[in-house]
Amino acid sequence: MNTKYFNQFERYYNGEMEPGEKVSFEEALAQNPELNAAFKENLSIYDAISDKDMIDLRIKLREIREEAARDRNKPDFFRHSYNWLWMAALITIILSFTVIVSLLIARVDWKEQLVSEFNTVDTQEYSSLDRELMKFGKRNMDFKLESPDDSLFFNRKDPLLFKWTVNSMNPLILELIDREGNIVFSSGKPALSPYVVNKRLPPGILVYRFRTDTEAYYIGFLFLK
Amino acid sequence: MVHYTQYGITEGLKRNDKDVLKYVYRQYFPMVRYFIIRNQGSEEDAEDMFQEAIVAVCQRVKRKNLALDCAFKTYFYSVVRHMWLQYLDRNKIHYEFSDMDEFLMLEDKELYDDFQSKKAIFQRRFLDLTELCRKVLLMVVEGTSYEEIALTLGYKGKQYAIKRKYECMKSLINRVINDPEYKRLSQ
Repeated sequence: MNTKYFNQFERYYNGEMEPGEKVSFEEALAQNPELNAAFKENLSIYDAISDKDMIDLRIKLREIREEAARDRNKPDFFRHSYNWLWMAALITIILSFTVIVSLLIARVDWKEQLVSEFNTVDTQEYSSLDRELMKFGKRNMDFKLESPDDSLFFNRKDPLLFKWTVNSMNPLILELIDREGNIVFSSGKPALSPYVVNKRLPPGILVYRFRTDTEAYYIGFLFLK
Repeated sequence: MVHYTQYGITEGLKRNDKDVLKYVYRQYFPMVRYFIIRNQGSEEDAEDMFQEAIVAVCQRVKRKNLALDCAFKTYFYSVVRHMWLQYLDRNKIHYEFSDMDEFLMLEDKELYDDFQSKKAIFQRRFLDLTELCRKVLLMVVEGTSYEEIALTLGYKGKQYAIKRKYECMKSLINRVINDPEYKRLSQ
């Protein structure tokens, strides 16, 4: 390829020649075989790159070649797609484990916080009622009533069985109170689980409570038919 | 990976479908590489030959229907084999093919003409330009005005667009005249 005419070709191609210069260039093209051959070759470059379909194909092939070269340079582990799956599975397991452990830790923290709140009730500025309710809640945390069960209605002719567990050495007295606020039954002395109330009780709603000499432990209600 | 039938491959090649091209590369490049390296070639030669063979086959399927009475693999292998043989002949490299694989005697002369043409060299060297240069030159050959090129590519004005095109064209010509195949063709 003869490059000595390159500037001339460019000016002609870009329409930068004056009309007179353009005419003399075209005459020279007709008379000078070397110039003519160089011009045709120059045009054939434009022709080659104007083949859009072929250029598109070559660009895609070049990209595929470069992608493959990049892929070859990757560490062996990442070349196979199934390795990515293993990696994803491992990450999922690690994340799940982390979440579960975090939840367990949070739960323990929450329990500890609750206990510490109960323990610091006296030192904080709560109203007397709040303090009493929190102390009541604290006392009842370990009180589990197994009987009577969740049924609301009980037959007053049947003996009423109370069964409970409590994590306290304080003796508990069991009392039953009617809707007027009268104590219709009291164990009198500390009751031990299981405890059966054999007394014939009046029909209607009854509140039962467990208490020590100074404080209430557990309160519930039932309906005797 | 998706599997393409013979029909799927030829239809994909007609459309320059990149997925199909990738599939063909993954499926058949190892075979081409093996053949070229065993027959005086290098890894680079294998890559070049694969690309040129794909271009030739694409041209062929776009020009006329390719009714294959053999597997695409056999056809493609035969194209590569013929092209490589021509390349060795042109470069006066002695060869004795060691492949015992199945191949076709392809007499489709026009299949190989493009591979040896200056046009193919111009196109290959064009791809070596920067993306911006390629864009400028493609816009010029598409008939886009220099004002529009300047506007699209964010140049200061028409004159700067002309200057950029001049530099890109000069860069392309320098690459072409330094191409060994071009030198051989121009002798």
